[in-house]
Amino acid sequence: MTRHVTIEPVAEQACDSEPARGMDVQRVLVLATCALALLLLPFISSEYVLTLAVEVMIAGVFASGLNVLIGYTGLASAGHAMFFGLGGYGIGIGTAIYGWPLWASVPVTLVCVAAISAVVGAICTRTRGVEFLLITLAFCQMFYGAAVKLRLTNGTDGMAGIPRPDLSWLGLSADGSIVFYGYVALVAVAALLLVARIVHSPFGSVLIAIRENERRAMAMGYAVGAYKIGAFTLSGVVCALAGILQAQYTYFINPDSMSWQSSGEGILMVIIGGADAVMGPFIGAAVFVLVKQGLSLITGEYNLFFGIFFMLVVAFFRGGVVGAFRTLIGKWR
Amino acid sequence: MQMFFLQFLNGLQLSMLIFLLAAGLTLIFGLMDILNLAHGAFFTMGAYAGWLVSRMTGSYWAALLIGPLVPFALGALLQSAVLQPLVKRGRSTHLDLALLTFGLLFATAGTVEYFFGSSFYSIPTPAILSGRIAMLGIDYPVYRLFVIGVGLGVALLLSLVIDRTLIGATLRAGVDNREMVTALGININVVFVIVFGCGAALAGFAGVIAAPIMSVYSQMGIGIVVTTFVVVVVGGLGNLKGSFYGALFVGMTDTMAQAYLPEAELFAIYVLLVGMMIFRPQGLFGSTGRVA
Amino acid sequence: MTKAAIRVVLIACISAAALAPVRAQDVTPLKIGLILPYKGVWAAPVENIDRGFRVALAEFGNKTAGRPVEVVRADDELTPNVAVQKFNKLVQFDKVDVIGGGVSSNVAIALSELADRAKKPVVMTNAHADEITGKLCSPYVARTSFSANAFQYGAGKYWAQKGVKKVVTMTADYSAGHSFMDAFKRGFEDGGGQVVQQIWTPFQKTRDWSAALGQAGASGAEFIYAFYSGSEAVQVVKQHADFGMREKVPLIGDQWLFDEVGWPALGDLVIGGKFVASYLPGAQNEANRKFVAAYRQMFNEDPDVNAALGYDNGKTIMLTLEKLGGKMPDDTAGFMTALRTVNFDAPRGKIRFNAQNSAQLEKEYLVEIVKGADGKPDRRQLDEFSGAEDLPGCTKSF
Repeated sequence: MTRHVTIEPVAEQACDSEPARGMDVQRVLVLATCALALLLLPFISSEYVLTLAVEVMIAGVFASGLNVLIGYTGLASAGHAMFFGLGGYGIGIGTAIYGWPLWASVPVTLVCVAAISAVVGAICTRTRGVEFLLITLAFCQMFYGAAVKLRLTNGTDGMAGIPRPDLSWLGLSADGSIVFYGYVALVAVAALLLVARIVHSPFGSVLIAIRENERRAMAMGYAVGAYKIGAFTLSGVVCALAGILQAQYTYFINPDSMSWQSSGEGILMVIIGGADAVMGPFIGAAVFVLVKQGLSLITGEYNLFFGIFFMLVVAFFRGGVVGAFRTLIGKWR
Repeated sequence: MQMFFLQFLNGLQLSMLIFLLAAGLTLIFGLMDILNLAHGAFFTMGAYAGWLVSRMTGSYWAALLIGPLVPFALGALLQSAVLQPLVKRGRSTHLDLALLTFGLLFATAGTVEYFFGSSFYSIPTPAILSGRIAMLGIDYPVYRLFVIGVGLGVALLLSLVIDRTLIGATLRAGVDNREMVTALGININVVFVIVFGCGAALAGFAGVIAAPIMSVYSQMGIGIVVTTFVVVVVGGLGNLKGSFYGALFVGMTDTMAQAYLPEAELFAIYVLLVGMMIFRPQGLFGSTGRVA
Repeated sequence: MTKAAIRVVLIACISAAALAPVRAQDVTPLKIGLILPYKGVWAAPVENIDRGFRVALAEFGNKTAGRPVEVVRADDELTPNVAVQKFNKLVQFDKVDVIGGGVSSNVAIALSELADRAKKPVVMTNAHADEITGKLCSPYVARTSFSANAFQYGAGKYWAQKGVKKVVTMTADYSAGHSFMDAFKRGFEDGGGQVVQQIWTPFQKTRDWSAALGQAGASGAEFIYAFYSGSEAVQVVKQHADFGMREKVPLIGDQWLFDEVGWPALGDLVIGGKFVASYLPGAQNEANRKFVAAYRQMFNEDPDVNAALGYDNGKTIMLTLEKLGGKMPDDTAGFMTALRTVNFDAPRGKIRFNAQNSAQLEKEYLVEIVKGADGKPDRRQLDEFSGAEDLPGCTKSF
């Protein structure tokens, strides 16, 4: 625990951007194990475990979107639930109000969210630290308020009947747990690979440079502002993707998806997972969803649990599960 | 016109209530750089403590005096036993501690639910403040006028303390240059603990003040704290004068939107905030230094 | 810290195992899931719903056709997304046969969608929004209370016929609020009155009603007709009195505005309050006498309207199960086919179901709160009238 003494997110893990050979093999092994587990899960587990796995993967996509900003760029947003919600609302409005097919609604939604998050990002990234935290929170509240008041989308009640993908051409129905699990797994893996690809590109290295020392990055000639907006946009789009999956999972979207508690849950998952590992957010999501489920069997005091869990994680767990695991491996060597 | 006057008073009353919260939040931030997201928790604690006192003694005034002591004690404890040690261990005062207090906000709501259930309670309005005063063609509840008076009184008192007293001078010096205050032989950590406690007590005080109007329930602090954040950002983080005018801006915007533009209630104040961030990112009275 | 985390998970698992008792019986129990918002602004009324539900089950000895009945409770936190998670848990993990509960209309809307997809019968306790058995109707969804139209259309017509000309409505901005006040408006205007303004306050977000009350006061209406429940109701009644509007523009509402659970917090402010109710604890009929006696015996107090709603819900489910011989048919839609034929004398009057699985409301009461002999508030019935039919709108046939 003594190693978490840096002020900005853990610096030593910056090696993520230029992985050593050894790490590469390890990474492939880890990924292969995960892929195998994902494939085998439907055959060895009950329907309820699959449902939990779906919740974990959706939360994981959301957290990894948020992580682009928190972990890689060093900007903690308390408002990314707005994009999560906008994703769900996007396909809800597209399919129910305009009557578009899902395959058209999804890309239109993502493009719209990209545009919105670029604008919001351009305003928010003028600040940093706690001001950034507060202004993102305020934006989130603004969208939340608008969703509550908007009669087009039934206000507080939200919209039911959000469609899942039509897989009848494959002879499948996405209403079934296994099929929907497969669909979410595919999307989640694709999103994870995309995020990993981007953050390991030169773009990602600049983000890390900004996190470590913004002035230096600026002095090196990078258009820091544009990079920050780019990161904000990417993170918004990934969160929207998670929101789309969530709306399809519940067949439902309402303003609660945009509440600041749901933003807080995202931050919590990112911190549990360790702010700057690619797999971290998924691990954080898994820990969060499972602990929450486990505890809900014992106690109904959700706020108490959420609050205490959050405080403990922030106070003692800053490097996250992945960080703690690495320290362990480091000790063995 | 009568309608406007009525809504004006409503807006003023809301502004003063939020100011009581914002003052503590901004003092704590200005002095020790901690964004206390759990400020709403102290609001709740004060209200519940006040409710207990009022139930035991039957006196509103006892509740108003004793209620804020609980958040004072807990706030001082939080600063001395949790936040300060974490700062010593090298934690970022900005983000980590803000996130920690975020958790505390929900933990408090949960703890209150655990002990008191999620029902709602009320502190009765004292006899002298119940009833209404007729003025300019409207009847306005005395208690709400009392809230306005208390808010203005606290604002005046705080500005006097900070501008005219030795304590105030120490605080101002602490904001500007911590090392120098320490060099003068003042234990800055003790000052921090006391200021944190006072900020929390002010929030608790607001909780008791709000109780006869809003009733007391476990999540009362969660909703209002977001409005308070808007106030401190609009006013400029760490600026007391700013938070007073910020509270007026936000309280009025919120009430007038509810009354005249119900379509925009719930997000009018955020539009105000975003506009502020675009044209004056440092807030009404903030110094430019904070912004990147 | 990982160790601590593992420990937490372990403890969670062990306790979970301990909490689920292993039954070594050859008769597997029939499981009813009960989704209610046990926490939050409606905690107090919901506790009574749960109690009423227990009274209904106890009436059958917690058995149906010799098979023990087990209730699995879940808290929807008044949030549709949470309700969805709890629904999945009840159906997939606890493997319940049928689900009861469902108070808030927005939770109910999310649950109906799921019930329809998962083909799992859901029998709603409250969920008054018309569309639940109207536009969004499903062969797997029923409601044992009454629709907004049944309750409020009758109320609106009643006030218009009493000679009231102008009214302003005020309620929370969500499906039940809209259903309720639109129905009231239809009834009131059909009776010759005029709703001069409709004020919508954000659901569960409003804490200060001064702006809304100011508007209502300036609207020129004879009274404010309001629907709020839980803590919102207490605040509205209190602030309305604070502004001295009781004499000028009285506040009239339904049984939730003056819900008995709010009486202690309101004190003498409730005296003189008038409201429309679907149930009276003092109603003189055989079913109600039995219900009140059983409730008193179990909980040592008198039931209120929420308890009656919970009771009706539990009793409808149990009667349906009896009809089915304690077994869930392979085609779960068969549950609702059986439910539609259920009719019984409930404490509130006769309950029968229409073709969309919605219970009908036989009669309503106009009640005034008066000071009782012991100085505590008491109800006095002023009048009674009949409830309206449901709105059409269900396009499916089942």
